[in-house]
Amino acid sequence: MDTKTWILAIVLLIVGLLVGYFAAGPSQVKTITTTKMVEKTVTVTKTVAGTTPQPTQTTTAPAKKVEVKVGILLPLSGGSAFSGQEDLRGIQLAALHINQSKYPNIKFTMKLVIADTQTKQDVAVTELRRLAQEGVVAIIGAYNSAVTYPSAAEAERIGLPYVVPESVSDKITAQGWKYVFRTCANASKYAYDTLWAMADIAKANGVEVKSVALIYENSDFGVTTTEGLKKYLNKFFPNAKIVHEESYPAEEITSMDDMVAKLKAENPDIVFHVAYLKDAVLFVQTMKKLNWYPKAYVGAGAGGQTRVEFIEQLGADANYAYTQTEWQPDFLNSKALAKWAWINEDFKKLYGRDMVGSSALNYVGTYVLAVAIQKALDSGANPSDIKAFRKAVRDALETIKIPAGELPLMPWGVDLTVPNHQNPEAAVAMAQILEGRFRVVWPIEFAPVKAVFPAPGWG
Amino acid sequence: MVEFSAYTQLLVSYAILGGVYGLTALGLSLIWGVMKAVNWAHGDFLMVGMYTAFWTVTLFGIDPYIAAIVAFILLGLLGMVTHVIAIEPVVEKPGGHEATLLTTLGISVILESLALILWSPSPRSFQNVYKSTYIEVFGIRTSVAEAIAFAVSIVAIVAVDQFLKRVRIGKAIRAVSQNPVGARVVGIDVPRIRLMTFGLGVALAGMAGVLVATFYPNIRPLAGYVWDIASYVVVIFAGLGTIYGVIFAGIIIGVTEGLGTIVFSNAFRQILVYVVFLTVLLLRPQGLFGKALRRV
Repeated sequence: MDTKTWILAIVLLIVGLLVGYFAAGPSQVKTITTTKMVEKTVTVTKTVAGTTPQPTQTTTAPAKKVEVKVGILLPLSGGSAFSGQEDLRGIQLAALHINQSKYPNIKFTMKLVIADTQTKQDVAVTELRRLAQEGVVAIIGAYNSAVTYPSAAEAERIGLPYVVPESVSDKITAQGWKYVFRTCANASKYAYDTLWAMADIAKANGVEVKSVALIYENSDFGVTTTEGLKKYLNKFFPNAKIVHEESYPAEEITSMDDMVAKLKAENPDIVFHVAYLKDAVLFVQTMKKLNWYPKAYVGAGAGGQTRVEFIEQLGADANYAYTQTEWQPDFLNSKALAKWAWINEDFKKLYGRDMVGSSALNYVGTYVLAVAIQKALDSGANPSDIKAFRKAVRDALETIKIPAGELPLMPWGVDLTVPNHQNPEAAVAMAQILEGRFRVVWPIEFAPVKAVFPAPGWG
Repeated sequence: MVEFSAYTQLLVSYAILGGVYGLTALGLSLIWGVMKAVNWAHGDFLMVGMYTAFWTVTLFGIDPYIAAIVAFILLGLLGMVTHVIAIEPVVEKPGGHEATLLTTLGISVILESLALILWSPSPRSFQNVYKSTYIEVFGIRTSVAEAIAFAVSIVAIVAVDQFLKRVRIGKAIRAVSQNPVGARVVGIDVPRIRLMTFGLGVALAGMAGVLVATFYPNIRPLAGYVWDIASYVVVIFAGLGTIYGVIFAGIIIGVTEGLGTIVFSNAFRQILVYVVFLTVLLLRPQGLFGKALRRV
């Protein structure tokens, strides 16, 4: 190639990369300047505060607060970008509420420094090191278990507290790491709660379950959740046999006809499907095409079936699918959680719709970290001595115990005093899509409607 | 065990899927096979076609198959602009065909990033009756959307083949692909023909994107990726420059995928495809339907 050709090729690549850099938007670029972030926060504060005065709002001019930097590590581009965006909404709303003094027990200002993992392990580790150099006191991240794991290992190595609000792979908290804390349930717990919920629902509806099938995408998420399902199946369904088990590559799949045909031949009572969005939609479309539906189609692991796009894309065909869900607006109808409705109201004002499991989990993770940072500040630790302050935040995280009812949004509490730092209180509810809406059907005390089991099929 | 009738159903389903692979590969085959330019942004043009379907259907409420015509025209124009920016300045230079790989890679990054800016990473979809309406013949069932995509695939391939053989511009395209210098000597405006070829290839990719979007979920900035990979495999498998070959290659690959998953499991889906792919390339390096290059 001659010089001109090389120049043209390089110019095009640079233009592409520049466009890519700005593609993530001001809140997603790899480095967010202090000014930009403050400007964004102030704007949002005005929008929300101007429309909904909260009971905790102060009327006197607040004293100057200590500012603490928190690193956010999320997939804002790449295959999981849309999930990362949702997580970020939850984190930003929590930071906003903290900075607005909506929680009187938290008295510092949280400044978010956001980094994009691009859904890649190596990028996540590099970005974590960069965040550490920028002086963040802790990390929240990183959605994909496969990305969270190596970045958490690096955080452990450099002594940086790492809060995991959503990645579920068991191994993240099975390493005995001192700096890694998970506020949500792990994959085994997701599996355990899936089976518990379906066993209760089957019993309540007088249906005996004799056979099940396990279908799962073949990354960490699908594999570990399915391992959990297999581990606990006999505890909840002692008479049920696994008649079919199959995994598939979610990103590359173009057809699921073969899997559904095999299932149709075996006709299991329940299909447990651990999936992302595209494969979950394709699976249901294919079940309809091949005119077969089990007694219950259950999205385990709160994956693709729990997203609002699952209903948007399938329309009425999404009805009767079960999905594990970390959070639904139905929760706010319960006596215990009604007091947190204002959080969802603020979310709706900012983003035009209700929170979902991802945003709620990340909100909670951010809140828990904020409580720990406040504890560290109260203990006299100095944020300008970054190494000592990180250690103080870690020590504070290890003492966090928030009972159910005091934790925003969730029906469970947080206990990080356990040796592996895996919150044992985190649990996952079960929802069923009824008339185009996610309705909580388990636990019964949060369920405004009764589950339909068996499903009526395609009719 | 899957019953015999179910096997028939699956073979037909995967043959239809293979036909759709042929459709998504057609534009690439035209550009790569005929023009000898590697279009790395092929999957991204498919993605723009999908978004064209989404926006025209949701904003104007028009039928997705009319959106396919809109996408054909819009993507044709986009293809011509791309050609002027990224192909024509390099294609005649020494190593120019390899250079198109780099320049179209730049176009690919730009398109993906622009999609992210303009439409966000949130997955989109549009409701249409075709994907939830079914045809059943001898107990074999498929959605109307997939059946139409398969039919359009065959019609488009026949049309492109006849265009290249019978229409004056088509003949000029073939002449340029076979011997650009000779074509220039006999008075063919070679840059103009290349412009039209690239435009047509991208227009076909855009149309294929719309047809895929009628039955395949999740329109998002990286949605073209999975179909892009399949398209490259189909074009190489068929042989560069063969138009009819892509439909047969697509069907063979689709059915092989199906057999791999039915007889073994999903883990064998890609393994079996690539075993067949590599075997064919070892025995026939020019592809299944391509002509062998002669040493001069």
